[in-house]
Amino acid sequence: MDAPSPMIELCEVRKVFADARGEPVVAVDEISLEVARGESLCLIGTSGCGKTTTMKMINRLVEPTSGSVRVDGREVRDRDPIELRRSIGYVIQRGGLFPHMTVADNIGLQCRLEGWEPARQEQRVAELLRLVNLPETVAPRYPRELSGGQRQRVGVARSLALDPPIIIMDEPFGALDPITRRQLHAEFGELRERMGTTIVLVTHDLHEAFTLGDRVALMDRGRVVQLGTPSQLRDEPANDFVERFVRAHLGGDHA
Amino acid sequence: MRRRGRGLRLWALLAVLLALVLHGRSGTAEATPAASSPRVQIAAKNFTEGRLLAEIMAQLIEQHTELEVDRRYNLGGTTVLFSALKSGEIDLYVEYTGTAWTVMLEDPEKITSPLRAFLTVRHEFETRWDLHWLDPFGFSNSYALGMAESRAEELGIERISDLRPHLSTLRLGFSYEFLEREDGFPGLAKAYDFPAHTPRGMEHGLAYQALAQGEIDVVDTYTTDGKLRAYSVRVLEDDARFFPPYDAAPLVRGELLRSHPELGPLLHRLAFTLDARRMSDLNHAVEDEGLDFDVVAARFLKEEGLLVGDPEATAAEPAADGLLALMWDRRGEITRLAGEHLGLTGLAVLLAILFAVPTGLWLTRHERWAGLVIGTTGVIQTIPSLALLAFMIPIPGLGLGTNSAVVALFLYALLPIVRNTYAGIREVDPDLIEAARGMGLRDLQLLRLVELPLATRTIMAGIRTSTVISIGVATLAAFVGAGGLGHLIITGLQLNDTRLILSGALPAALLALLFDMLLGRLEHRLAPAGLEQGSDG
Repeated sequence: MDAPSPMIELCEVRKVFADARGEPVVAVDEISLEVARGESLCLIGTSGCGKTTTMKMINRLVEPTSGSVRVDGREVRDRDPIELRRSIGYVIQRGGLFPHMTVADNIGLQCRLEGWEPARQEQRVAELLRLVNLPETVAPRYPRELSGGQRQRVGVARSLALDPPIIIMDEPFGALDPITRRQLHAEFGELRERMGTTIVLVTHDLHEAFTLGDRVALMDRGRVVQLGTPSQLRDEPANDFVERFVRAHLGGDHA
Repeated sequence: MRRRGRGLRLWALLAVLLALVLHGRSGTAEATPAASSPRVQIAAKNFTEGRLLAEIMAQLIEQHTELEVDRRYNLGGTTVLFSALKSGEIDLYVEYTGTAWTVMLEDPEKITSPLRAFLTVRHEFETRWDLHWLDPFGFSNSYALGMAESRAEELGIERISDLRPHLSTLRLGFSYEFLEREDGFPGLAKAYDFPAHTPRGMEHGLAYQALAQGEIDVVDTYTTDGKLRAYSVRVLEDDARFFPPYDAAPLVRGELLRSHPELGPLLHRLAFTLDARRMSDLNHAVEDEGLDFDVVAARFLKEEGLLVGDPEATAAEPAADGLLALMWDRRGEITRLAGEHLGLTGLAVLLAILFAVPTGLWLTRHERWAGLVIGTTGVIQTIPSLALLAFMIPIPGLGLGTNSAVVALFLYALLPIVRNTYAGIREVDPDLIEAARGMGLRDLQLLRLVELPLATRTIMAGIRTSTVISIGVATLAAFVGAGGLGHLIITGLQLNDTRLILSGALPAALLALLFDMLLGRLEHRLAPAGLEQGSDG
């Protein structure tokens, strides 16, 4: 048999939206890329470059206009979106925690929807809190009683509830102070090693992309300009745009 | 889980309230006897004279036939009664030729001949609507001018034209309405060729006192006003026949006269039994002597030899003095009416919740209908309450009574609930909805677990607003015979009795405040924990 299929495959994917006046706007223009099992891929670019839209096509929050998206070798459009989404962890900026639910209810929500026994659910919540380095005492608290970093950890824990093979993350550490962010970056690395999860992460911060991504896809106006390891982007820029983007974002110390 | 328990509790509460309200309604339905014995529905507008004459007819029919009489008093105005009569909701009430001429026939011509007015109205009503005018009672309740008896005697004034030579010295005090209306003073001055004169405008209720104290000499009045007796006022003869005739007569559905042929001749025994003076005596007995309508009616029938037995046996004990004493005396009635009031409001608001919350939710999924639907419920709210109630009467299945009132209140209650449900769901942070979808929540799970809990406080605020509005509007339900605290208010207005008005208005206001507070607490308890308090209040 061949080598195992990639975890995620995008093939000539295109997405056209209608803007406020009904004019078509191309958000994603013929993107093709693959993410291997256990790999982490960062999508980076300025706002409006199509990185978030690309990511949302993986769990069918956005349906592509044309092209194909495969997860674990299967076409996503043939799959039940609910079942697909429960197999893909989803983390958004500032955590996206439900303010009317306790930390435990937030983390255990998917388990509850899957019909788990309360005791098993409770045990899972405790495990996940340990995994993201939170004390068990936060379980009965509400999101507004937590710090930004704690909320973000809860958001990550929530996405891991059903032990998904894939996690997609939309600017997960964007709204945090630099110290907390660095700490979470370190924890994120440990977590990945332990879980072996495939990750697609959207960010506009090149430091973050270079720290967390095995490979990085730099996007501009709906296209991937360069896809490669951090050192490839830094040392072998595909064109002027990549070179300028990297220099502008990494500043003097990497120039 | 805890939140699920809370949702269940809310539904259980709604179910219990609905059960209570329905129970209350079935209870009142049982209270009215079975429809097997033939019944006559006698109605009256919400003023003393109409109700007195209705009561006289009711007792007459009860005395001389096997028919059961349903008394539908205190109904709101000509429009309500007329449409109820046409649709067969009521069988009979007292109408005035002048009103029929202008309001129902909409004849722009000014009518002066009482006979011509009566014959025309009788003919038109019979051919157009199969409604029959029986012979008149014998008096016309029209505008008139009055003077203190002693002053009129002193100046030798008996007719309106006699005023002319004295106009420069006489002080005229007229109600604002009379001063403005073309069939009031402006027309009168032309008809009698009075020289330019500026009468004083004043509140009609105060005019008699001013007349008695000699501060003014001439007032406008009605020919049958009970106050004429209290203050010894001479009514001046309208010798130029300026004021249009308002002859009172029973107005009956043709069907009733045919199915009960004995009724026509029976009611004709009341024909020409009352002149204006005697009618004002009867009004006076109710309004100023504090006698009950049924006592005064029975006394009149006895005088006419139309009633056997002793009407005075049921004479009311003198009414209590202060407002609190009156309310204490009537505590049983007030409690019963408050119960009716809450029954109407509760049923209407519950129905509104069951309809408006799903509608609001539906609109969040079909945005392009939102403007139209919320706009329509808004337009309903601008319809004057009494007009909305009147619209309900001809609708089959509604008619006079509880159903019309509940439907009207229901319509009023829609807007705040639809609007707040729609707004409450739309206010939910789109990021949270995105997160929920990304986690694999189905549509209904998203609604139940995320959107509804987060919109609870806004939706509850809408329900609270609707309830308070409905408690207020429900005071008008008495106009269509649905009872409630409005019954006391209308009777009080009719008798010009402020204490009686307050004995209905105060409990209604207290109920509104009480429910505002209770629902405020419920809102607080149902709103999910974890949200910042008052963030969307």
